[in-house]
Amino acid sequence: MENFIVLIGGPGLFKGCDKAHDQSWTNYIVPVQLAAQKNLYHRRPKEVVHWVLYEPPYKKRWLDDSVITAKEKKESDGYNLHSIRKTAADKILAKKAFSYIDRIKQIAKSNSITYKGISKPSEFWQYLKSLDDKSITRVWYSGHASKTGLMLALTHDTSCDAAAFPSDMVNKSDIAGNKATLLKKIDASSKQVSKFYGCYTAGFAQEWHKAFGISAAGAVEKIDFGVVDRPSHIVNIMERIEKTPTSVGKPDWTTYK
Amino acid sequence: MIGHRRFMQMIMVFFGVLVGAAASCQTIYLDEQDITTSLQSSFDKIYLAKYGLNYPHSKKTLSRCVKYNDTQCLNTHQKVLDGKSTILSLPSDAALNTTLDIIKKSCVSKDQNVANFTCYGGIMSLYFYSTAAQDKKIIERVKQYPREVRNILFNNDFFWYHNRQDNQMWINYLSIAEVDWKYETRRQTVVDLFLTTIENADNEAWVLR
Repeated sequence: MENFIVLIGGPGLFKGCDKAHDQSWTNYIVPVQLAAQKNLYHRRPKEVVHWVLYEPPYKKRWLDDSVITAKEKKESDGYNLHSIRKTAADKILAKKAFSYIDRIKQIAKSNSITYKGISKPSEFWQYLKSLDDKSITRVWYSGHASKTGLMLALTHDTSCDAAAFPSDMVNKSDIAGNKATLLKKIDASSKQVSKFYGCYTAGFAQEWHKAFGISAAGAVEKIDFGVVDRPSHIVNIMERIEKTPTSVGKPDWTTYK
Repeated sequence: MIGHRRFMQMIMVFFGVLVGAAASCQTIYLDEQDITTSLQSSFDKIYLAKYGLNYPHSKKTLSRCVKYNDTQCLNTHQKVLDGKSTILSLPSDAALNTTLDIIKKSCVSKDQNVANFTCYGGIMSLYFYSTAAQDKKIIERVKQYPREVRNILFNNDFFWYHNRQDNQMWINYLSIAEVDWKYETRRQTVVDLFLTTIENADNEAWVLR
């Protein structure tokens, strides 16, 4: 059996003061969902796709969005409710799901994807180590990131500057620390590329390639998940994320092989 | 007899000296509470250099931010510079004592913002205290910290590892330090970092900007 792992980070809370980030809770789900539906994974016959979801930010976001929605039903003035949040929460309920996580599980199931929820970044490494030897063909990531590492959740400081808590991060330096035990789990003969969709992930990808000897790719600069919803001549959603310039220029998507 | 113009010049000089003296007194006589408040606010700012989403981690990224006028990026960069310059403007020894107190308290705080922004920002600021005496003071306090604070100090990569006067003292300590290493090879990784100069550190160092 071959294992293809997709690690999915989460959004921050909806913040009117930060229009650039996470106005939609679905930012990191929709690309990997479309990739599954349109076979952009180029799934191999023996390959099992795993969605490893970092659940805490989805729990927090659902609580934040849905409680206010429920509150609005009681209060006619719609106090402090942003329509985006209400629409998002209503869509979930219409799909007969009871939370964002429940909806993600539904999507995974309908696409024959194995779902694994984690509540700590270290559980990502544990999950990889729990798989059969030489079975991991590739790892993808979808979510926030910085040069320091993958930011599985987002927060804001008192002046609305976006940041991550260290306890929500998979650090670039953790790759070397987990190398010894993970090396035997990776299929070194795999021709598949591990792809890290997040801003400034090229360093992480390079480290991944160096540690495990398999091809890996990431962005030298910023990427924009919002391009998924915008018209483009690039039909392939993942390729669109890799190539579409952001407000600060090209992502400089780079593959290390 | 001095002329009216000369008299007015003397008056202006006199008041100039008074204002200057008042300003310098303000710097010298900052009380502990002022230092604590200034430091805490600065820690929250410099935190963004390591964990901020919009911080430009390289000169190349910074020049892109300038070119495309990315205000979020430029504001975050400025915030980090402000935090750093405030820390450097405080009397160094007093600021270090207060920093070590803040780290001890904030890193075990139940308040998530304090336990992250203030704690990690405080630890990041140790880079600015690198004399032999300061180094000794830091290690003595680190030995007394609760284990969970030491776990944070050594299970994350910080630039202050790279500019210790007596790195051998730290390496010796690491061999016996009570730390829950996050993986088997972490202790050796930290030793290697203490042996690496800031110029050879991974990533462009924000502390040098």
